[in-house]
Amino acid sequence: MAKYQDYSNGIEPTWCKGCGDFSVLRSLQVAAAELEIPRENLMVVSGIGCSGRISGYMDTYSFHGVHGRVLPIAQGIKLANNDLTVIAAGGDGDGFAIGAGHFIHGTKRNVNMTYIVMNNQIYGLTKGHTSPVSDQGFKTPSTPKGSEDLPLQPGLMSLAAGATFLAQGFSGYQEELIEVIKKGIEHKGFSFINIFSPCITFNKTNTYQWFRKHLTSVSEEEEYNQGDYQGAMKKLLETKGLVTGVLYENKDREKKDEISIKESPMALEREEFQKLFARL
Amino acid sequence: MNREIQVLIGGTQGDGILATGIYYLQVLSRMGYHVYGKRHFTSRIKGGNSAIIAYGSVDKKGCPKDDMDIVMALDEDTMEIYTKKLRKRGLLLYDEALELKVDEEFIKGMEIEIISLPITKVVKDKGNMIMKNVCSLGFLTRVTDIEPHYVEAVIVEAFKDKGEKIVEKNKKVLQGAVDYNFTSLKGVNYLIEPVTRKYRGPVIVGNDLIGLGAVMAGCRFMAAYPITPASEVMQYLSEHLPRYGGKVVQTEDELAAINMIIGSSYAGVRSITATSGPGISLMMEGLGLASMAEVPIVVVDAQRKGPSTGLPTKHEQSDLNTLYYGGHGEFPRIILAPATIEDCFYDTIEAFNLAEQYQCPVIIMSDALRSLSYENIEELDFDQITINRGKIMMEEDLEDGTDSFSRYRNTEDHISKRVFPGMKHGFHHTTGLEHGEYGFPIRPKDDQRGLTEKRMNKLEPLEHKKGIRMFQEKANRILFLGYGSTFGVLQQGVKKMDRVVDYGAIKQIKPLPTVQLKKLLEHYDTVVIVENNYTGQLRKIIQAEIGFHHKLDSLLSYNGDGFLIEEIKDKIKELI
Repeated sequence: MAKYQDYSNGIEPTWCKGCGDFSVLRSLQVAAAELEIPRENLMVVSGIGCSGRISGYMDTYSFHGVHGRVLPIAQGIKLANNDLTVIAAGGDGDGFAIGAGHFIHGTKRNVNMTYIVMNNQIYGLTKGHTSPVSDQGFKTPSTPKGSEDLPLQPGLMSLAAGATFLAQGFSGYQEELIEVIKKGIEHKGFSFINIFSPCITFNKTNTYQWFRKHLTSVSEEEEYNQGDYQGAMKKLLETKGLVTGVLYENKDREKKDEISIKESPMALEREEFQKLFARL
Repeated sequence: MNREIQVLIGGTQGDGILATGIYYLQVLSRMGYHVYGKRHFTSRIKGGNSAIIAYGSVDKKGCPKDDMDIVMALDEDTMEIYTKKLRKRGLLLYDEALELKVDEEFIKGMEIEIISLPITKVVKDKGNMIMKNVCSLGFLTRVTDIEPHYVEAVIVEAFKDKGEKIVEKNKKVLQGAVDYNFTSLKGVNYLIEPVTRKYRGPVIVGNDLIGLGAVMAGCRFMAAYPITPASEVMQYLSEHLPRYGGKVVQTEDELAAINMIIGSSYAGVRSITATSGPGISLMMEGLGLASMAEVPIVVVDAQRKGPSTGLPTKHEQSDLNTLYYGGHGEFPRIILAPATIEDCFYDTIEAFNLAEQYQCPVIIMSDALRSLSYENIEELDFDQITINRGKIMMEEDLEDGTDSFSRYRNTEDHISKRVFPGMKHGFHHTTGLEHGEYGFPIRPKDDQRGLTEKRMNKLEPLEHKKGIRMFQEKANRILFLGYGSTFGVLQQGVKKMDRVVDYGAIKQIKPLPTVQLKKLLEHYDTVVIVENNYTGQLRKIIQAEIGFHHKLDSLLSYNGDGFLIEEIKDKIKELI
């Protein structure tokens, strides 16, 4: 049996004490251990921001890219080597601001991988600027009079883009978080997991207490149908997105056993070259 | 007998002008001629004037002539724009459905012959308007006295996949043109006779050969965003890669394209993207990441004219500074510039080898003319294809008791060994942050100077390479150096001036072949860098890196069309 510690490289995270990201890191490690993913086959790709550091704490293969580009890099890796379990992770700025186009198109492309957004509704690493999912009126040094616009709604965006798996989690509910991450990894397609991961230093509004008060969960709703697209939309609208659990899964668009590009031979025989030449 | 013929076919975009031109090139190619086709087109699908110059010559030229033997006008714009490109006693052909619009004085002075042809009429009588291209071809080959069987062979080849019926319909249209009684043709002699040439290569564009080169180099993944004039690379690979287990992804933008190939290459698959200037601007951050993380990638830049959106269908070589210096911070990259269409093939293979040997981005710097001009290529040599993947660890070599792998360990040549995810005991981190030998971000007390030096010094061996292809005579004191598509026209200009100057092509742009360049600059009195940009970008780079300011001169053109042979000749005359 694998232990979650096997997936930790022991490096002490740069995160503030109490940061929600610790729980995401631990949950990912537990999920990997419970699914017994061979460490060499676990590929964690991350973006830039506090959350982006997560790949550097995994004792697996890890790639810390540039701001906003976590999804293209992760998709390239997965398409090259289908044996890998690919986890992309980043923050809400990384995924819904600078990388928003990649989020929409990554969802549409439905490559078999998992995308975890550690959503704290603020730019922690730049010391507290507003994010595309900050609430209207949210005051930060870049929005001293309060954020003017309505926040983006990642759950609805992903459904609109053709998501085949949508889940949300909360750093404060670790057991459920582990479960949704496991289900996301097991889903054969692009699984998007939006995790409320509070920033205890700069976001004094969306705190652990605030989430505990406002969040509901579909994990406890027996009659909730995860295959119901409109139901998932409705749930997100009713709860203003403040809901956890697996909200939607479409198994009809599952990716069948795809081959790894990596396995295809590089060198071609003379006859093959002549054939290609004749087709010019 | 004429040893060469050059025709400009022009019409409204959507008229099948390009097809007529390509068919004509294929006919000439079948007759044993070397061909060159140069496009003039706009960013419109229908409407707007479009033209192609189709050139056939007994010797390989690598660029068109400056003037036309024949102009074939399928719209009035063509008559107005291109008639003045005709040589003395040249021939203007035009569809009789059009109103003749020419400068009478020019026609008289140049003794231009004018013939109207019932192109639209024959198409309507014998087929339908979609066959206008075949009809134009029929008239053109008839005027140039080409035996019909060459033309028929090309038509059969072009339409055979569409079925017997379509082939027959087109043959009927063709016959209509061939049977037309040219009473007015008397005295016109544009006779083209077949010449003996053992080898007859396919008529293709440079971008096709970049695609073929990639396949043969073992590239199995491409991510790209469509853009003129680079899209043909993507089209070629989309068609052929799946057969070899590969894949092409059309991404949401160029940012995704370059980052996706960084991912696939990191995972062990040779990968490419192709774009033009606007895409290169977006790819700068990706070039920096690939260089910092030492991930090999190949990026094609088919340069087009101007900053911003510029003139998308026009030619220029003005991305050089951006490719050479672009991106924040300092990072190594290699730039190759294919000078001939065959170079597009060999240089692409070389690009993949260099990328893996030196673990950095390699840019294939093409340009609109190099990428989109048609030629019937020389035979490609299978035996010259080699795949060299550089320093790669095998999984079985990793079992030395430690789990972590020092992916970025500095070595004598500054190049570290690579492993791929999925390998046991190869664990390391990869990041765009400054990092130590296991890939983890460095701490403030760590040596930051050495890490920069490891990266920046690894390309030094390439400075000793013979990166300039030289054509020398013993006594010459002046050297002209071109790169990319300027090489072809430079070569013709020099030959027309009886080689009173030497010439060559700079194939390796970065790192500059400093050893060879220095020797050349010491040897010659004057070295002229021939390039299609306003500021003389490569000349300035050479001056900055090697010196010899007083010996270096520029020949520049930035009209979007490349040089005329005459412009090369004028510069030579000015200097000798």
